[in-house]
Amino acid sequence: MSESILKAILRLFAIVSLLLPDDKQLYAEEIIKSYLLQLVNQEKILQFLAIYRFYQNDFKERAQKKPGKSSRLFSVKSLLICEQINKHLLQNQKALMFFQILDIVHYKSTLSELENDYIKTLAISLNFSEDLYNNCRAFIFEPLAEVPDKNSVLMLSNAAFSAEPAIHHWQVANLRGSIVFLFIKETNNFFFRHTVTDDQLILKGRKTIAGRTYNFEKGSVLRSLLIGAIHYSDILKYYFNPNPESSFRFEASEIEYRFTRSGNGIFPLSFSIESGQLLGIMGGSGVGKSTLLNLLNGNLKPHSGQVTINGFDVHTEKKELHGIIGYIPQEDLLIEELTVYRNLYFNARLCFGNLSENQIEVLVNNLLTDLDLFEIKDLKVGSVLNKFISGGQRKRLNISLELIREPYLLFVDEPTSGLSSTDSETVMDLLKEQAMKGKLVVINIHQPSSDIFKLFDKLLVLDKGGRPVFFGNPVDAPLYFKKVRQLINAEDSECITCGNLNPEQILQIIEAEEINEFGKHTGKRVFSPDEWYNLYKKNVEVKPRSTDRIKTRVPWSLLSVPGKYKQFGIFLKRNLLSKLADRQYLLINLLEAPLLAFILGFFTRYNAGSATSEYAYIFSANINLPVYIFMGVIVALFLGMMVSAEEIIRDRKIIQRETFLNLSRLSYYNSKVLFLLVLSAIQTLAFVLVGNCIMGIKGMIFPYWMVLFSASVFSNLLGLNISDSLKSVVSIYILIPLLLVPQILLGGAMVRFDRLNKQIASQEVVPVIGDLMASRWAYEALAVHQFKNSRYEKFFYFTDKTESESSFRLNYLVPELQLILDEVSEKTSKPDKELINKNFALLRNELIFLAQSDENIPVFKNIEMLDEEKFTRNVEEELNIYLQRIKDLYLRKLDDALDNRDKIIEGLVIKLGNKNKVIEMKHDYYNESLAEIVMNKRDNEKIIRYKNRLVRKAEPIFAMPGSKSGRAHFYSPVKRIGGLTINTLWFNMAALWLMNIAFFLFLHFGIIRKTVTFSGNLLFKGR
Amino acid sequence: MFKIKYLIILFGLLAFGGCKSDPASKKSTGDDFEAAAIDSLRQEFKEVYYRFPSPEEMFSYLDSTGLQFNKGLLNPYANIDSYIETFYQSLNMGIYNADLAYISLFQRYKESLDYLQTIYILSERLRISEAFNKNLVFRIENNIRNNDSLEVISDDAFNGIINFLSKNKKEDVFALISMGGFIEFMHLSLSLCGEYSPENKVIQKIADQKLVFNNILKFAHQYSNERNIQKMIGLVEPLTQFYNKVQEETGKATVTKAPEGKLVFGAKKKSMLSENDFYKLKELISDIRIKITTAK
Repeated sequence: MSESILKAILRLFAIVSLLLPDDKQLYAEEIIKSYLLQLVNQEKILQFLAIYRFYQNDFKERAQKKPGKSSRLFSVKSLLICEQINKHLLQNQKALMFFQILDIVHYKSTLSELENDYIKTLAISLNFSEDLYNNCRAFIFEPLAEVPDKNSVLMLSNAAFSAEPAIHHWQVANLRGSIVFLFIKETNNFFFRHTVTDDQLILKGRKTIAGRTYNFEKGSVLRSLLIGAIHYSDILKYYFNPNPESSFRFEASEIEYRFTRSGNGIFPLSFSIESGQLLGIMGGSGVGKSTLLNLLNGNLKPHSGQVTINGFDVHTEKKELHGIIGYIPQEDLLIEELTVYRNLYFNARLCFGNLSENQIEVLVNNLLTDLDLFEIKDLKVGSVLNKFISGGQRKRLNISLELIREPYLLFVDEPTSGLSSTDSETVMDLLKEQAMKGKLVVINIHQPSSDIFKLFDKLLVLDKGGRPVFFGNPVDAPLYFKKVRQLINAEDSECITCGNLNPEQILQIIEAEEINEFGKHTGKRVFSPDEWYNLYKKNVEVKPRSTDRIKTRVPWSLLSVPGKYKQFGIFLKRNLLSKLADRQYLLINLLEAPLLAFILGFFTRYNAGSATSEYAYIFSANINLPVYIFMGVIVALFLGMMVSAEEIIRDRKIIQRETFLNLSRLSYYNSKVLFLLVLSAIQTLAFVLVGNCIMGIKGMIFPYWMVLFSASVFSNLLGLNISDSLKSVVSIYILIPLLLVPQILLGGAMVRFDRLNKQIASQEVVPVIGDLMASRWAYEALAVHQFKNSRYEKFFYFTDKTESESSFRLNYLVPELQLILDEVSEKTSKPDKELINKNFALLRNELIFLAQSDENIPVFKNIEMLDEEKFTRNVEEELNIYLQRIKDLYLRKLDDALDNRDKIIEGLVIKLGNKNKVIEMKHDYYNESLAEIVMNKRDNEKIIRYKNRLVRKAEPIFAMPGSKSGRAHFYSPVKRIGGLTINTLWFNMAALWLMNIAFFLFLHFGIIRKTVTFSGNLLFKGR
Repeated sequence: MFKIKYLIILFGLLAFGGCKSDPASKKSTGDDFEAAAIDSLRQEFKEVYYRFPSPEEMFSYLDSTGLQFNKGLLNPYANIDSYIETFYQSLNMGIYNADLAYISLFQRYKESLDYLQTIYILSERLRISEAFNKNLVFRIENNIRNNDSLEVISDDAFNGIINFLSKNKKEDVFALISMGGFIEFMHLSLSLCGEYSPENKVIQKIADQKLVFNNILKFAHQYSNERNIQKMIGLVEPLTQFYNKVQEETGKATVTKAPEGKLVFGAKKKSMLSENDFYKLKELISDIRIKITTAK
């Protein structure tokens, strides 16, 4: 509450106080003082009181100046103040303030007409409903019977029942008077008044005064020496009649579980419990409490036995029980970068697809208020190490995630661990309230305090190895144990003076050790766990009614998970907001790409200089362009992997929970993928814009971006798969080099594909291992496109290709054939039959190929005679002539091509104006170093014999691929598949996206994850 | 086997590192060049060769003492960027060849390599690089300091080119290369010969080159249907006309047989240039050369 509002309230009080006679002013001030005590600290009280008095005087003066008009004036003033208050106070704060006013005018037992009207006007101005007003007014001024809504009144007295049957009544022993509670539906608040004068009723450490109205907040306790403690949750019990329709029976029937490796587990256990209770599971550390909890909530399947809700099996009939069970694990399930509000908000959106935005907002705000988190709702949650909110607040927020949908069966693992005693009480009160409202709440707790212990309706105690040793009423527990041990004071469960139960006693008794003759502990227990267990089985356990498997109705749950598309949208928004909130992440990820581009570009920008200037940069002379292109691909792969590596693993616990809620995992994956896609697009675009600019690559932004984006997406998806499959972040980072180094090595730039280890290399096409590398596709696409489709080469490519082919056939293919012909016609003493047959086969194949590939070449008419047996000198002569004619053909073709090139240049000169412009264009668009690489100039091996064919090695960029299956040599300009000829750029992109889709599907179906788990299990012979 | 060979032993590489020129040529040198002019008639299946004078021969008449390597005389290899049409590529290949010869006089290895590489690049663009044997350049680079084998390598190389050009019926290219070489040779000689005087032996030799020019031109005319040849003829037209005006005293034609069975056709000319003509020639050559080297 802000100071200005408080002042407004004081002004209002001041106006009200004018209704009182002078001798009652002190009385009014007392009320105001105790009100202020609830809001500000001691030192400021006097200050505000002074302000109040000041206002009082001010108003008095005004009243004196204009006597007749004063009441109207004050009404108007009050209205204005109420307007102001309406803007800033919550309903319950207003109610409290209103009660103070009522108390003030309660200086006499009845209201005058003026006072009545005034109060009514106030109530209306404060936007109170009529019911609310009437209830409040009657609560103060009328006997209880006159309260309109009798259901909202609870009276405590030491009588057995109240005089007024319609109102709730609770008999409290030793109560010297009566305490009356009023429940305000609109604000979900309790207020109380009491008439106790002989005893001191303490609320929040302060004495309460009889006849005054107090706010009884959640988690409050009203204490006195005589009556003990009255908890908020006790009061709650009387107001909520659990809907019989939603009551159910929870039963565990001889459930047993054993971990194969450690031998721990849960021993056969049976119990049953009705809804509307709070069950506490207690035990030393490591006894198996969490295991038991997971068995009961359906996460873990027992090796024998069943867990049922109204007859429905929790493990096998999950669909029917969807939304009934809630589970709050010990670990944090919060998203660190988001605020408290947003964490709960997104969770609510995922639970309530059927509510509107507004409704969800209200729901979230209400819950936050209930959990006392409203004030910090805009604080970032932060990590456990880097806290923004306290541990207690974190815990409450975690609980709120489940609480928002009020599951009927709520499991909480160690709700109070690490919390202060005040925070623990708050949390436990919350849980008790849920139980009061008819839910079944099961919690694990290690060391409950006495107060918390007393909240349990049922207690289950576990001993070592998962042996249940007690089940029943918590108050009876110490009794049972002491009796078994035949200890003294068995009958005393509670301490007389302080009322404390000592839960530690229970554990102490269980674990008590024998004492040896010297008075020292021996380390051996008096009763072994098995003994306790057997005792339990004999004395305590109630065997389940074996025939009782009738399925009755399952309570209807509030959970209404939104559809898959909506979920997708929610996941996406959540992810986006959490990333945007992390400044460091944003900065690094957005700047990394252009920074790398700058580094890469800067260092590879080789400026050869020109005639005019030593440092002039000419694109065509930049030797390092191919390196830049390849490194660009590698950078894209790295960036893609780095952003995706941790994506799923950091959400591990949250995913588990969301599976629990039956949320769509696909939607989750899709949202991750979309987010990464957009991020990759931005990064690669930034990279290309900066890098290409520095390198002077003109006009190819879109193709570069497309290819690098595709490569980056590949990395994203690979990273997501890894992130989904591995258990720890460290393993992921160790795996990354293993994934990326092959990409670098086998991308086609570092090692030539035809010069690899012969067992995998192929001379005709890129080997399979190469085709698996995303880098190979990306790099080839860019290299080929950059060369072939540059503004300069575009004019020449076709003629260059003809030139290249003609030159090759003329200078290498045909001479090689002539050589082969010489080999077969040579008469040696020991003709190598195999070699000769091979050569003939080669000749035949190549001649067929030549005829097929060029319409100007007729088929050699004696081709069948090219056989060891049929071969004659005549044929040899004919073939020689044939080959010579082919040579002549290609000679002419070559000449024509060269002429054509000259003509094109001429045309360009005319088009551009002068020759210098043409040369300039070449300088700007045609890179010599890249040309050298794609034309394989450095290599002298132009043609080789391979598997009965002659394989062209010269100038791969101009060579058509031989295969029609899509495979081709590296730097092939096109790929052929079936009857189609597709440009390398598009074909390679398609190949990349095929791989992307494959990995996307792997992610969806969890193929990699399952394989990893499966092989892990095989290797380590786990569970 | 019929082989029509047009052997042009381009002087530069032959004389690398040591002026080991053909002994036959040594006999016929003295004060004269041996300018062998050949008429090429494919049908006659004659082995002919047409040989430029070697640097030793060419520059022998110069007072080589005190002669400094003047890089400025050469066509810078960086100009290669401008040669995008086959016309200029061929012509300049010849020019670079001549430059290489000049460089070889001074044993300048780095520049030799540079020019050799340049020639190789041009040959690639003309699609005649197959003439260079495998690893040729590699061998050259590795043997740059070993004079003997370098000679062999270079001999191989250019034998190869000539073989290649003839086998692949690229006589037009050959003509252009020859013309380019001629122009450059003229340019270098004219720059190194010093002042004009009627007694200047060098100038006499220069004058004799008219015959060489005419023979190249005659050879080229056989392929005048080729665009490039037409262009070239047009380009050197001023020179053609100039030479037509120059008086000549014809001497006797000689035929000698050189050791490898090659025939050498010689003609001893005693041509002379007037001072005016000399300077006119210089200008003409310069003009034509500029046009070629700048590819305008």
